[in-house]
Amino acid sequence: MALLRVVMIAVLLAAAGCGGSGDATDVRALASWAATTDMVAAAWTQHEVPRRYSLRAVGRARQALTERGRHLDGLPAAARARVGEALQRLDRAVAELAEAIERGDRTGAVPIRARLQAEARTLGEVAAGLEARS
Amino acid sequence: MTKVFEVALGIVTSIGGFLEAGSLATSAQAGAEFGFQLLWVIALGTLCLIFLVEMSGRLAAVSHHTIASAMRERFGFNFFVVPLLTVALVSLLTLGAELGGVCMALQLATGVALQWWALPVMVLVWVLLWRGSFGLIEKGVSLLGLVTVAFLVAMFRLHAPLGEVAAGLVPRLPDHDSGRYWFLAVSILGASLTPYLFYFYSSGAIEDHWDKKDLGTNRMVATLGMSFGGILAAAVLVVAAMVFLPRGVRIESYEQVALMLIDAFGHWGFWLFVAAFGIACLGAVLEITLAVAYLVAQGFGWNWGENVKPRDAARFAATYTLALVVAMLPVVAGVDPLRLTNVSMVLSAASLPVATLPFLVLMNDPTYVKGHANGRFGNAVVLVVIVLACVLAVVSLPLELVGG
Repeated sequence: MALLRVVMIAVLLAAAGCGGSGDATDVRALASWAATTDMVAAAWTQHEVPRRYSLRAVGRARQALTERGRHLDGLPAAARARVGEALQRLDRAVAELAEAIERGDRTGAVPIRARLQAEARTLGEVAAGLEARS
Repeated sequence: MTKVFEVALGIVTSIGGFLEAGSLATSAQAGAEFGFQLLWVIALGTLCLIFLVEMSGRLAAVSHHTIASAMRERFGFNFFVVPLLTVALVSLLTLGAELGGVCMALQLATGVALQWWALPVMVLVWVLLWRGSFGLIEKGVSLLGLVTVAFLVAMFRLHAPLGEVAAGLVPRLPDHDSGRYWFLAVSILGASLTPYLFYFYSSGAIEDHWDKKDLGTNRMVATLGMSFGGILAAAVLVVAAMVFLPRGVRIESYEQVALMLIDAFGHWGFWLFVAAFGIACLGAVLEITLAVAYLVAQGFGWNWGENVKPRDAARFAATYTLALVVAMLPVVAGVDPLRLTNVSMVLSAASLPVATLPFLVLMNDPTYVKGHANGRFGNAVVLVVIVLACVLAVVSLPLELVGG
């Protein structure tokens, strides 16, 4: 019985800690993938990772962005609009990065990094705002 | 001199064999999301592991029984079937995660999808087990695993703030995402205390013909080997905290983890990671496959032993062959290896009471350990940690699955 009580208290505590942060978590994950893509771009432009890995990593990022992007219905309207716009720009930047890697064009990939960083910042700000509200 | 060499080799192979997909992934995730805050869990898990590994070696050296055979003899088969099935199922899941880790390392290196590597890796492991000896499995792969020391070197190359790192060893409550914090805590405990580890260790002690003269070696290897191994897991967490946290990267895939040594080593960082990850997982695959076969063969009273020719222990060899085939299935089916790793680590933690409590009874039974029974402190540490790990696992797994 004592063990059961401990388990129930722990469930309630954990549930309280988790409550209401689902949407912010999704936006935080989007920001994380934007930052990951920037890390891959940086490493690839500096000859630190092979091309095949870079292509796969960028492909994985696009897949994660698409999957996470589907779960934004619960966001407040203003945040949803901001995240939606950022995602569109991010998707374009990631696609251009994939093309640059495919062509082996390291110089062309350098300016894309600034765009990736900007979208990572935007998404991070939205996530921080949502976390502050919850 | 031979004794000193034996102890040194034991410690070195314990260090080289410590990291695997579970400890690497959970430490990296914890560092990326919570900085140094979860270091205390690694310390707690390592302390408990030292006790459990020392106990399993002591049981084998004094009683000449493995954990499985002693448990079956002491409690009867009807009771033993519960830990047998629990440990075997959790170990198979962990085996799938580790096999996925080897395939992922090959995918990172070549760009060829990990599903294509499942069969070649399975065949390689099977050939090593079929043709190799226990010494080759235990020492050969573990010595190669010393490449994982790269994480410790990276920690110093990145100038880790040692004061803040030390502060992470003090347990504290999370300042955000408490559900995720406890899920990662229990994943780390599950990775540190995977039951196959101490079941494998006791079988290894019997394979190496340990007796009471080896109790000192056992104590040294368990204490120093596991401590240094724990330091490696902590180094992974520290490096992840320094590389990923400032950039806001949360780990959801091994493609992300592969970037963690680049800040410290540049071009070599990527390849060092691939080598460390691949070898660490390969070592774990060999050990877990053997551990499952040991457990089943000892449980049913079959001939067993990696040093025995397969034709003289046919059912033992058939068991490890079958275990490899089963573990390969989730990799071929395209299950995400990181997700599989997380789930298997939490289930490991949840299974700890079933795997460990009967073992604790054995370690206090003079029929088996004679004058070498556990002290109160050892019993208390293991009891507290496994109950904590189990409660956290039961709570956090549903929350993680529901919350994604």
